[in-house]
Amino acid sequence: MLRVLLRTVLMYVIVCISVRLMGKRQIGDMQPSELVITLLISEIAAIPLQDTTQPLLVGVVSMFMLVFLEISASIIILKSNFMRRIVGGKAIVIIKNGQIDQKAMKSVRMTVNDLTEMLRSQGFFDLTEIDSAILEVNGTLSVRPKPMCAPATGQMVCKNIENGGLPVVVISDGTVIKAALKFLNISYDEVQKILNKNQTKAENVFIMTLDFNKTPVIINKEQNI
Amino acid sequence: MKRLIAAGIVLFIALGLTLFCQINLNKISKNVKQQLSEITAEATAKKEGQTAQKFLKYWQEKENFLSLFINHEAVNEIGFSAAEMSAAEKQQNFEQVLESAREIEHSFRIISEDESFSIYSFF
Repeated sequence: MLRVLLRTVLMYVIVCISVRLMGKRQIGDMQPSELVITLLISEIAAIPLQDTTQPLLVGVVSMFMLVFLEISASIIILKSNFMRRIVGGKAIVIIKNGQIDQKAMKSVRMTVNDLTEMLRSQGFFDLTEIDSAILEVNGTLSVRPKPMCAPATGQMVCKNIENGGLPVVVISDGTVIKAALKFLNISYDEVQKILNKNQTKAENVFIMTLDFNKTPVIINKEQNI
Repeated sequence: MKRLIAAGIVLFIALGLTLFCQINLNKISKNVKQQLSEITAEATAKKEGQTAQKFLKYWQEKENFLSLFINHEAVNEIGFSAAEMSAAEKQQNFEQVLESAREIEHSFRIISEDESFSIYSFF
């Protein structure tokens, strides 16, 4: 039993390192080749854990080989358009100028239900609102609404909206995050001043964000939790 | 570039481990074959000796190392046959010695075939 425990710990570490080496794309939307590698790695990792007569080294070597193949494939795909098309396929236009391309839908074996479901998940309930929709290589549907149905932007309503930049969490559950202060180039005293202005203390704050204009958003901790 | 280096290191480790296992397996396989032929010659001539006992000692030294890259069940089977062969040699049961030697040889041939690259083992 101890052997199984230790094997599991070691395999966990190796799979974590492998996924980390393959990069962030592996844990987000996956390309077909990445999906294949992820499935294979999970299977290979499971074999020596389930069957203790199998040497661990066999799993480790094949996993390392897969990591090498994945990194090499991603580098080749990055450099070559042709290989990108071969390995990953290409995006397909499903709706063009408001017209559904039935032939394209048939080619990717997409039903009307699939299409409406994907559109609804993007917030579009009416087909007439859509100008174009593209089925991406990773299987997601990118939708561009007709200009009349698109959400209004600041540019459209001719307003100069102030850009404070990225809001950063400065206090999390009563703890001031030093890295955030450094990122915003702000001192602890300045944070203290903002807190005083809002009649609160750092230890009472559940979450506080600041942007580069030092505009605070403060949510205090609830009492009796 | 960082990823390319990582890929290179990972490939180096994978190939290194494979090569290390293959070289060691070949070496052990050669020794096993040699010792088994000595045992078989002695048993056929019904000559008293300690070759099977020597082989058991040798196997006990190597079996933990072989378990690193060979199916543990196969390693255990050979270990069992080696112990049987050694006991038979002590009792001067030469037929049993020959039988166990054949079993070990067969098991080792299967291991070698599994580990070596050929078009048949590949598929």
